[in-house]
Amino acid sequence: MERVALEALGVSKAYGTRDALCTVDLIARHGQLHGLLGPNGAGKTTLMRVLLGLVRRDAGTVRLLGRDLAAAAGAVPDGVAGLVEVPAFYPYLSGRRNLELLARLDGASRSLSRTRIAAALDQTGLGAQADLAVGGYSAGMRQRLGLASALLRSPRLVFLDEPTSTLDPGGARDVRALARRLADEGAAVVLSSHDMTEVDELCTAVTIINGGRVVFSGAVDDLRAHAPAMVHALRTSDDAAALAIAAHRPRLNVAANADGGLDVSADIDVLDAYVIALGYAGIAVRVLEHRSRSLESLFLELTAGGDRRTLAQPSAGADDDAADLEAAS
Amino acid sequence: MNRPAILIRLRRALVVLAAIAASCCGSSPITAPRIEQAIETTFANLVHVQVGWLRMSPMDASEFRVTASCRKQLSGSDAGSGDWTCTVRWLGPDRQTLRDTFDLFVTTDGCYTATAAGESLGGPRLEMSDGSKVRNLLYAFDGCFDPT
Amino acid sequence: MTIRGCAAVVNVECVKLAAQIKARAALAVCAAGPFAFAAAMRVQSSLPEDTLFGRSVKESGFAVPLVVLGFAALWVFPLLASVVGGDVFSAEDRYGTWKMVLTRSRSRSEVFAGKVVTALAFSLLAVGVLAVSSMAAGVLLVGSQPLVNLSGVLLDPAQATTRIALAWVSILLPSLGLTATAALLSIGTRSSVVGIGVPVVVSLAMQLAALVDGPEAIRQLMISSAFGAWHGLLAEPPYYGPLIRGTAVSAAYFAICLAMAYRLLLRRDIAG
Repeated sequence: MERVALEALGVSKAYGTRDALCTVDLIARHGQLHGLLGPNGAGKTTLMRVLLGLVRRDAGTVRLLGRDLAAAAGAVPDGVAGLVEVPAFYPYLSGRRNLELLARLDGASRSLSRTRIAAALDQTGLGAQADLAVGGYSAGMRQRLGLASALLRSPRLVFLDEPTSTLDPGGARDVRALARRLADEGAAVVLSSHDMTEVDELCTAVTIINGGRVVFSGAVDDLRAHAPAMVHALRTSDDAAALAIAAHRPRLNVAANADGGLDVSADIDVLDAYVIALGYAGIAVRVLEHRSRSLESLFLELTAGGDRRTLAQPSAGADDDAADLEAAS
Repeated sequence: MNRPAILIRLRRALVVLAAIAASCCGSSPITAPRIEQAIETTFANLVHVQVGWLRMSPMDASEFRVTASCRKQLSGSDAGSGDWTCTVRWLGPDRQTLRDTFDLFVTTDGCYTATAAGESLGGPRLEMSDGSKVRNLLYAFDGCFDPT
Repeated sequence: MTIRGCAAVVNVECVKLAAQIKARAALAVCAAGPFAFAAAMRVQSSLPEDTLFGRSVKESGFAVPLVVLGFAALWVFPLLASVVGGDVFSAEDRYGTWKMVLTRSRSRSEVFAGKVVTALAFSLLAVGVLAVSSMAAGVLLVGSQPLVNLSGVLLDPAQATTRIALAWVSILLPSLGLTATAALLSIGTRSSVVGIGVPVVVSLAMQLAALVDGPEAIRQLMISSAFGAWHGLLAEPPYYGPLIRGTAVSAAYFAICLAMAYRLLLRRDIAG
């Protein structure tokens, strides 16, 4: 088991009468890409701000790289870096100059920062535009510059708040590769996203937040174990008859879709057999397409508005245990 | 939240301020005796300087025996900033008793501008024996006194 | 909080200031303005008689720095005091850069102290440049003739220089008090328009209010009065009452505003 890089326990934050975060636990380990998943407004960004000391927490403890983060704002410990929402810089200075100022705030010597800045610009592909004023940067370039500013701190714990949101597919791919490389080099990377697919591809652990509360926390593999089988959309020449045929088949779940057609949830071999059976029954298959990844539908289920459905939390340090699915009232 | 706490403190500070104001709301420090003393001193000093500029035989400021009598132009009050009239009696360089009137505008911080009311003291510039001109320091002058 | 940490923040703020046109423009005007004024006085016949020492401006160069001092009290000193102080915090709100600055290795205390020190240093520098430039302009363009002071006494160049230098020094603490006020407004309202504009407008309003008779205590509690406390230094004998009160009031503005500003920054949630 890798060492714990981030330990946040019981974190709560209320704005007036609204609970933005309610007893949130988040544990991230070195070498781990930990996804922080949730719909917009779930509290992901608020949690990141609390963990970086930008927002005062009302309750709970936060330890970054073994050091307590006081509720009252203090400096971010060395080795911790974070990007919250779209990074911002001084538009009248060049990208390189902005990085130099941030390095100076980190207390780095001039020669050390020069080396680090060159490396960071290289890693984020900003070498050519580094000496242009940031005011003329695109959103994607600003995002890369933000990543460069995080890399300056040689981080062992990184917070990335929806880092691919403003990037084109090529840029997004580069960012994911960078995040993976950071984790491979031993850093703990906490990456927030509202895209289950991205988290599924990239992360080994995930915490799902909805309405300020954690609805699942654990390994992505565990989450997959709870996901329903693949969902396909099916349109036939006789949907009613197709529905009747499905009623008697095991491990096959077919339901009528409100927009017409049928939703079929089954493993691929069961689905194949069903389609063949339809053919034998004289029912033609007109449309059969993969509607959504199973993990996505679980995610949507867990985070449907106001839904308090949760998956039982595995205790810290025991991610290998199987989690039981239970519906919380 | 922070805002209410700061507003409460501000309110307290304003209450203290109002109390100080009420306790000190007496008459203005711009009084006739203060103005008269300032005019007497300044006028005498200016005559002394002017005598030097006109290259007359030097005389000490005290030799002019300046006395001033000032009253506020607005009748019914004897203190406060604004327009005042001062009558200055003094011994000229030729030992003649002279009487001149000045219009003063006095501000709340104890500074004033005195402008000669008549022609007795001459125009803005005085001509010397060799034809050159120097500023008439007594035609109009500024000064300040301690209002505390 | 460490000195090195604050110094790092000061360093960063100075780099940012140097890249901005407003700081350079303000200092340039402070350096060149008095020379333009003194040159105009040499050429034209009318005198700025509504300002103390305006009458003497053609006959003694030492009148120039005092005329500048009197004129600048109206809106120039408040503007110089707030042009950096009123923007140094709200600029981060304007650019959205608080989340970048406060996720490095400097604590909020160090960031606060560094920014405040930069703003205060700029105010001192601007006043200093204006002082030196006025004195140089007066002596070089008009001359170093003796000066008639506010009690009609003639001051020789050495006496005049000393008194004038002290008069300008007396402006420093009120300027710092206004800078602290601007900084508080900058943090509290997150607006540079308010941070820079309000101290200027309030100073003007205070001076207008001081034109009418009112409770003496109120007049002395207004920081604008401190900008005129130097008159006593140019009287004979010199009087120090307004100077002592002005110093106390300025120090109070300075301490109270900075304390409130510090507390505001320490407790703020950076959520934007």
